[in-house]
Amino acid sequence: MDEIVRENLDCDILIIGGGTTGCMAAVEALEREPSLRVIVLEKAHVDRSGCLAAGMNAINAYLNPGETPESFTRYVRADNRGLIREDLVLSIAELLNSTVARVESWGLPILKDADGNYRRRGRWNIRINGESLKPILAEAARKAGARILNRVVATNYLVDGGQVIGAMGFGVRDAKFYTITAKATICCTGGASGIYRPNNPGAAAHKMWYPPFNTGAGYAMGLRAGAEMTSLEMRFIALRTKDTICPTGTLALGFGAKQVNSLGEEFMVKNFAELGGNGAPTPYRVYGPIREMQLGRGPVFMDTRHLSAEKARNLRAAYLDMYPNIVLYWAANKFNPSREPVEICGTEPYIFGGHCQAGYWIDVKRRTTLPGLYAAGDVAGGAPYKFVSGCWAEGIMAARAAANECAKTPRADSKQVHDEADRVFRPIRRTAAGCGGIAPSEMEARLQKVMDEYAGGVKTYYEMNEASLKVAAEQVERIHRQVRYLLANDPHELMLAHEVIDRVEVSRALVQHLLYRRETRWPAYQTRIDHLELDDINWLKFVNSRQGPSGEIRIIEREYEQIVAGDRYRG
Amino acid sequence: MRINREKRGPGCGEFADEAAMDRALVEAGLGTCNDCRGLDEPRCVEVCPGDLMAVHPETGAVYCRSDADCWDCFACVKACPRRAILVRLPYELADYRAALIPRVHKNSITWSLVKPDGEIETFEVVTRKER
Ligand SMILES: Cc1cc2nc3c(=O)[nH]c(=O)nc-3n(C[C@H](O)[C@H](O)[C@H](O)COP(=O)(O)OP(=O)(O)OC[C@H]3O[C@@H](n4cnc5c(N)ncnc54)[C@H](O)[C@@H]3O)c2cc1C
Ligand code: SF4
Ligand code: SF4
Repeated sequence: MDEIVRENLDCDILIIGGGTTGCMAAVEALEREPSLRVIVLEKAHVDRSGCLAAGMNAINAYLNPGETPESFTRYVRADNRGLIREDLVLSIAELLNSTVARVESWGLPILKDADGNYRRRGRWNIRINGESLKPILAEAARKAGARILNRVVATNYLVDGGQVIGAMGFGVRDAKFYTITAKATICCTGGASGIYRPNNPGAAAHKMWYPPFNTGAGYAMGLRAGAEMTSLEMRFIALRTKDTICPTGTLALGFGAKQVNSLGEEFMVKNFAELGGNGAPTPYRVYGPIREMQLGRGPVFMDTRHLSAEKARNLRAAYLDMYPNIVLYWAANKFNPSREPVEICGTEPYIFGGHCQAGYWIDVKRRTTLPGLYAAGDVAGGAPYKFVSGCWAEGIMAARAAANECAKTPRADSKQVHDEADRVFRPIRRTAAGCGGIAPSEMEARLQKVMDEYAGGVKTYYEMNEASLKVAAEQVERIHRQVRYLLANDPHELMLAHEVIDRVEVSRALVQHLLYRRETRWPAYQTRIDHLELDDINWLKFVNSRQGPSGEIRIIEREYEQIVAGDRYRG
Repeated sequence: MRINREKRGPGCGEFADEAAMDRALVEAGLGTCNDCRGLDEPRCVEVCPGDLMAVHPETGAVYCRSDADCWDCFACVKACPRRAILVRLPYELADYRAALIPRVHKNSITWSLVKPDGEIETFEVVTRKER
C-alpha cells in the first residue's frame, strides 16, 4: 500500500453517525449555538443511511391525549419486565411530543383525523407518511450548518488521559485516514445486526430487519476505550414476517391482525391471558409464537383474512412507506393477505438500545462514563422503547450537554494516531503484500455460526445455558485472536473487515453478559434454559461491563432505582 | 438488484410470455441506465447505505458489488433519475416475475407494482408536506 494520505480536522462537536439521532443532535447543537463548528461523520450518505433508509410509517413513542411521562414510564417498565433506567425513560418522555412537532414543521406528513388530531395507531403510536423522513432530517442538519462528511467510517476514539477528544477513521471513497479532534464527541452509530446468523442464508442473507450496515461500531469503539456498557444480554428478537423480515406492528396495531398457530388457535390469548394476551409484554409476543413452533404447532401467522380488498390495499400502501420489498414479495408470489394469513417468525437477535436497552451506560444528560463522550439513540443503553422519537429526544439531550460542556482545546496524541492508522489499514497492507488470510465474509460466517449455535440464536429457539455460553466465549476469543489475519482488496472490503472486527468485539462482551445474568428476565430475548425463573431477589439490577487495559471483560453490577410509584409489572 | 441496460426486462428468454412482462415494465416506467454520465458520482452509488452500487474500475459501468448484501431499501431505485434499477428478490424467496417501480415527485411517489400476469397496480404515497 502507498503512503497513507491523512486528513486532520478540528471541531467543537463531533457527531459520529448521521442517522436519526445524529442529524437531530446536529440541528439542536447549532440552533442553540450557531457559532459551534459541528462535524457529522457518516459511513454511508446521510440522505439514506441507518434505520430510516427506506422510511417509516409510524412514530412509535408518542404521548397521545391522556398519557403522561409517568404513564409512559410505567408502561415501558412493565413491557421490559420491571427493569429499566426510569430516569432516562422519563427524560425522553418529556421531549417526545415537542420533537415530533419539530420534525413535522420540517415537512414530515403526519396523518390526522377529521378534527385535525394526529391519527393514533395503538396507545403510544401515531401514523405518518415517513418515506422521506431521512432526507428531511439530513436536510435540516445541512441547513443548520453542520459539516457533513459522508463515506467516512469511524474506527476508534481519540483519547487523552481518559478524556475522549474526537475520533479516527478512514474514507471509503478517498481511502484517507481521518483524525478529527473535538471538544465534545457524541456517539450515534446505532446498534448491531449480523452478530448472529440471520434468518435467511445465502443470496437472501441481508433480508433482515435491523440495518445490516449498523454493525456495532459505537459499542466496539466504546469497549476498546474502556467505556461502561449495560444490558447487552437484553437482545432484541423481533416478531417479523417470514422471509422478508418485515415489521408486524403495521399488521397488529394498524390492521388488527391476531397471532394464530397452524391449528387456528389464538395462542397468545390462550397461554398468556394473565399477561395481557395479544397485549402481553413485547418479549412474550415473540416468545409465544416461538414456543408454538417448538411444540410442533407451527407455522404461525398474523391473521389478516378479515381485511377487505380495500384494507389490504391500504396495508400495502402503508408498507411502501417503510418496507417496500414485502409488497414486491407478495406480488411475486401471488400472495393475497385478504385470503391467506401472513406467516411470521422470530428474527436473529439484534443488539441495540432503541427497542431493548443494550448500550452505553449514560447519565440523564447522556454522558457516558468517559469524559467528553456522549451517547444517544440505539447505541445508548438503559432506556428501551425509544424508537424514532425517543432517539430524537436523546440526540437533543446529548447535544445540549455537549454544547454546554465542551471546553478544552484537544490535541491528538501522535503515537495513538500512528498506531490506529496502522491497525486500520492492516487488512489492505496484508493483501498487497500477498499474505494469506481470512476474508471478512468468512469471519462473519464463522462468528455468526458460533453465536447462533452456542449463544442462543434462531437455531436453538434462542435458548442457551452456561455450558453452551462457555463454548461460545471460547470460540469468540479464538476468532478475536485471528482478526489480525483479515484481508481487504479495496476500501469497501476494508469497511467490511472493520465491520466484522467490531462485531467480534461486541460478541465478546455480549457472551459475558449472557453468562452473568443467571435468571430469565426477558423470555426469548434472554432465555437461560438453566435458570428459567425471573428472580427479583437476586437479579433486579443491571449487568454492566467494561473492557480492561489488556482486553479482558469485567462485569460490574449497577443498582436499579424505582422512581415512578406503582406495580413494576403493570403498565 | 438489476440494472437495466438493454430494452428488455429481467430474465429475458426465461419465460414464454417474457415479451408481455417487458411491455408492462416499459409501461410502468422502466428506463435504461446511462451510468449517470456527467455527474461526479452516479446517484445510486452516492446513496446506497451499504456502499454496494459502484463504478467498475475498468469498464466505468455502474454495477452492484453483491446482490446478497443488498438490504432492499430501494434508496438506489428511488434516486435513479432514469428508473433503470429494479430490486429483484432472490429466487430462494420469491418468483421473479414481478417488479416495483417508484416515480419520485417533489412531495410524493407513484409506485407501479407490476404483477406476474402483467397487470399494473399503482399507489400514490405522500412523502412531504406541501412546499
Ligand atoms: C426497518 C426499521 C423500521 C422501523 N420502523 C419504525 C417505525 O415505524 N417507527 C418508529 O418509531 N421506529 C421504527 N424503527 C426504530 C427506529 O428507526 C430506530 O430506533 C432509530 O431510527 C435509531 O436511530 P439511530 O440514530 O440510533 O440509528 P440510525 O438511524 O440507524 O443511525 C446510525 C447511523 O450511524 C452510521 N454509522 C454506523 N457505524 C458508523 C461508523 N463506524 N462510522 C460512521 N457512521 C456510522 C450509520 O450509517 C447510520 O447512519 C424502525 C427500525 C428499523 C430498522
Ligand atoms: S442512478 Fe440510474 S442511471 Fe445513474 S448510474 Fe445508477 S442506475 Fe444508472
Ligand atoms: S436497495 Fe438499498 S441496499 Fe440494495 S443496492 Fe439499492 S441502495 Fe443499496
